[in-house]
Amino acid sequence: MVASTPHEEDTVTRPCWDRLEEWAQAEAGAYLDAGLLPRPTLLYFEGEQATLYARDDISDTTPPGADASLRWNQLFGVGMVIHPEGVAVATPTRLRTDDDGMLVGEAEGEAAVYVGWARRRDGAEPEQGGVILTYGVDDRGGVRWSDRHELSEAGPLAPLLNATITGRWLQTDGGSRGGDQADISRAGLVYGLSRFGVSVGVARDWYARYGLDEPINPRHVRPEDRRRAHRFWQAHPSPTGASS
Amino acid sequence: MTPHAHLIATLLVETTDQRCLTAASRPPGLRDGADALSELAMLAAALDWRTGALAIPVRLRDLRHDEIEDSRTLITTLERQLDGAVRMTAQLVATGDAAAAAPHEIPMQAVDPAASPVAALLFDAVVRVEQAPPPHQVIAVLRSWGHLIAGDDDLPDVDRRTLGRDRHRVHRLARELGRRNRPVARIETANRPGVPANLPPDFVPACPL
Repeated sequence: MVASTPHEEDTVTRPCWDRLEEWAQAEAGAYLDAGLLPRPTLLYFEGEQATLYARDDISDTTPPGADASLRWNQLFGVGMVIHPEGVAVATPTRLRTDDDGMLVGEAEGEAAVYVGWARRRDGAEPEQGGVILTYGVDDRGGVRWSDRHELSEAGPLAPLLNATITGRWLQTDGGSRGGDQADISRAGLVYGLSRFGVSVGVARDWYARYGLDEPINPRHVRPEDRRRAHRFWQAHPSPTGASS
Repeated sequence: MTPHAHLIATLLVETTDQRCLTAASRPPGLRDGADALSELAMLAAALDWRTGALAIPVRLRDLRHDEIEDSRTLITTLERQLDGAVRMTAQLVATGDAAAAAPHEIPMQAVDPAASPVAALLFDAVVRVEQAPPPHQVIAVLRSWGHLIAGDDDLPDVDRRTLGRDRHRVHRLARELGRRNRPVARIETANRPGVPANLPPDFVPACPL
């Protein structure tokens, strides 16, 4: 007997802009069915097609006291150089439902999945929105989706969602970030993020269109990956002719 | 959850032509060796596999009672889809004394493969960028290091003339593999690579390394 895996039902989990909530429920449900916490997941869209998928694999093992916003910046990191038309995020959250203003602990809220999205297309109104879907897990481990709270705007991650589609990022380090990025290829950025537990997948036909087939500068690669990188870019020379 | 270094890991691989191969890892203590798990993973990398499973005895720390529990086995399974994507599952199974005492009371626990160092190692090995050495070389080298390997077919003869060279090559690859995916201390959990398995259909890992 094998535990259920994510993406067992392809028709449900194939991400699509019109069915973001279903996608988030399927994505989270696959983890919840296996008794695991869903993990922060990001989708980029060009038109109606989902093109890039990023997932934070180690969010729940981040040591206490670590900078949580750093994890979010890492998850949204690819968006800093790829300006997609649309972006959607799904992440586990807690919903506090008592109205008397008493602070209940973060852990005491109702378990939920937050879905937020933002899109900006040429010749169309920019759209954004968010929704919080609460769920319960019964004794046998089954997931029951209960409530749906629509948010008036994109919700708590709106700044990051908007920065992704506009390409305007807050410079908190005196503008040095742009300088650091200047000589790193997109593939190099994805490589760097993957060393910190961010898994990035790309739709097959967008691999080259996003420029992810450009070689990585060997100086940006850790020593144990260098020989592998060298071999790979030798076997797959870049179509743009950039030097490795 | 830490791999138990003094117990033996078992790898079961079914190749695309529906032949099975089983490998049990060598005991520790090989001088200058890479770790036994990385060496086993090299076998998975070399074979043209369709499904595979790696079983490793692990110890769990019960945080409520602060005691260490033996007799659990972490089983990580791999399955190659038709489109080439890799699906991974991981689960904890009670074995040994615990299972004998209460066979039905301890349920299997699913483990997130993306949060498991063993799954990260296996995934890294099988989604190989470079060509691993041919399987008969890896099998010969691993046997010479003390791994027990059995298969449906007769195992190939060992070519003594090239064994030294192959050992060097497999060892170097296994050491790099282990170094990339070294299980790290708690403070360094953020330095573990992600596992780009279980992606949506028609998606490929964005970084080939």
